[in-house]
Amino acid sequence: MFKEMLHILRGSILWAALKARLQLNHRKVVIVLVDENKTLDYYAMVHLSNFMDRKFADEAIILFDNKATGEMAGSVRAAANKKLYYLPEKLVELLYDYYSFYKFSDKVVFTYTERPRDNLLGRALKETGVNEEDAVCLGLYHLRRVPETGDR
Amino acid sequence: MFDYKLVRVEKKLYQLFQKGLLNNRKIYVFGVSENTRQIIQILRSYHLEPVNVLDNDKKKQNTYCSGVRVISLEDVKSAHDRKNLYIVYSLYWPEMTAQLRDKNVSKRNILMLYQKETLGECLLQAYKGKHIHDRLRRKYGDVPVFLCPYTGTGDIYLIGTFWRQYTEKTQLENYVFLVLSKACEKVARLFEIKNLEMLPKKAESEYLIRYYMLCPERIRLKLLNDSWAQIHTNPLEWFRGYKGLEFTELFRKFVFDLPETAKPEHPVYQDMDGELEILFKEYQLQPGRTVVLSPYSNTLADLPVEFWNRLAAELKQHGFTLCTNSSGDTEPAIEGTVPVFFPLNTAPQWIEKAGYFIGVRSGFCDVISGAKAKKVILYGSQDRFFNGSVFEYFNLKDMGLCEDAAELQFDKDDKDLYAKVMQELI
Repeated sequence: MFKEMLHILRGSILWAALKARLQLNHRKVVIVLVDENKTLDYYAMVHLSNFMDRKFADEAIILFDNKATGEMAGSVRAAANKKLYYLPEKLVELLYDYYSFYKFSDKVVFTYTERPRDNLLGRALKETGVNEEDAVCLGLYHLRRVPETGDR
Repeated sequence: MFDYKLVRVEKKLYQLFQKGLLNNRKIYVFGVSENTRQIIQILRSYHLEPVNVLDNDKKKQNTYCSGVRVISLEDVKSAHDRKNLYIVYSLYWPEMTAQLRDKNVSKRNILMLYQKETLGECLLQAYKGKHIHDRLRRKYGDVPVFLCPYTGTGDIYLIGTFWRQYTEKTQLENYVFLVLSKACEKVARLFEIKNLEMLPKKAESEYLIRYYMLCPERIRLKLLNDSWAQIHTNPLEWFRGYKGLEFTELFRKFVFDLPETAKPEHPVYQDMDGELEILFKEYQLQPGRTVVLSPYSNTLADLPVEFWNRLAAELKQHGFTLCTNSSGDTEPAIEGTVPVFFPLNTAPQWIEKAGYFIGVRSGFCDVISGAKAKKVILYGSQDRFFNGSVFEYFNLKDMGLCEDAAELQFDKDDKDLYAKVMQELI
């Protein structure tokens, strides 16, 4: 148990460092695109403005761990006022392990679908009529509806 | 909210009430939720009634939460009025307070009851959870731990209806099954569930889950729910009622991973006709000619007491004897009926013996759904549950729990409901 606690504490230090480096505050949201499901990542960008409205945020920080995801995120014009930063996969995982134990912010969203073990988003996508756009709007952003693209 | 959090909130509200700070205030509670319902109950114990519940979700606006009308913050006239008091107990408190501040509501008029746990507290909870797990392991060995982290009796009943199929499919021989209340334990006892234990404190469930969140490899814990808010990385609850994902379907697929052919199975009721015969005599109720009225629901819409009084009077004229499903003083009997406390492990037999049941939708309806009796179940047409209406999500027919109940929806001012119910019964 001690080992797991230390791991979580390392995650908390990483979050503190990111908060300072990215100057995070209550007017910013953070989206971590993990490239497990490219369509999901895409819709996370398409509906970013809806999420920002919901959270009363005026800026979004996008974290990604590979070039292609970063390029995709940058190319979605619907997602305005965003800044993109590269974060190595190992650090993304560490941050998510910390988040999975302790929800340190409700303005942070990860696009994992299969982890940790109890995350059933991947199964919902495979086994039900829920698609990636639904998953982003309802499951990740809690918008309570799926807005038309560009509907704000 | 967990019991220890509820105690904290009760204490805070009591202090404010004692100081007179809640008197002559227009109280608004932000967010339709179970927490808000609990806060309303506490306020009512001081004879204070919130003016409205506020919610940003358009689907919830113009509905009722514990009988209080739900509106948007935009609909509050003079939101900044110093007489207004806004109570916030929600994970979404940052957005709620930001909205209030945008409306020039003074900080002094926002009563923030939500307290986010710190990382240290969560680690301590995990540590406590480890001790609970150690205790269980000493008693039962290293077996899977099934946890029902809720107090909803309907959820437990649905779990029970799939339990035989699940244990057969997984060849599960030994396990421990944890519940949080006596009522849940009684419902679970209707089914063949082994090693049933009630956790002494509801918070222990939170500790166990926290331990699992920290060390998922060290505890074979399975939560018996499609999703549970504490495990915030599982977003499944947000799809409830969406694209056909209703109550039974979610449990069948995501809790038990059973095929579509698996259907809920009612338990075999223990024969207690002799005992019931005596009890019916004691309460002066006629077997087969008694209507059980069940007007109370913890979470869903209530009907005005006038409706029940009128219904009871009319039924009496038709020669029925009547009783009210009542758990005590907070649930008084309808005029002209006797209060009866139905133990949940024998409730179906009671209803079969009575012959008739009329009730608003509650967990009790799941428990008695398999009883052979004339059943009328009432649903507030405005009541929402996630992406659908309460009726869509919880109706017993679609849940696969019973085909023979008359399930009716009502509006708050439904004048025809009384006639519709009578028509179903007579």
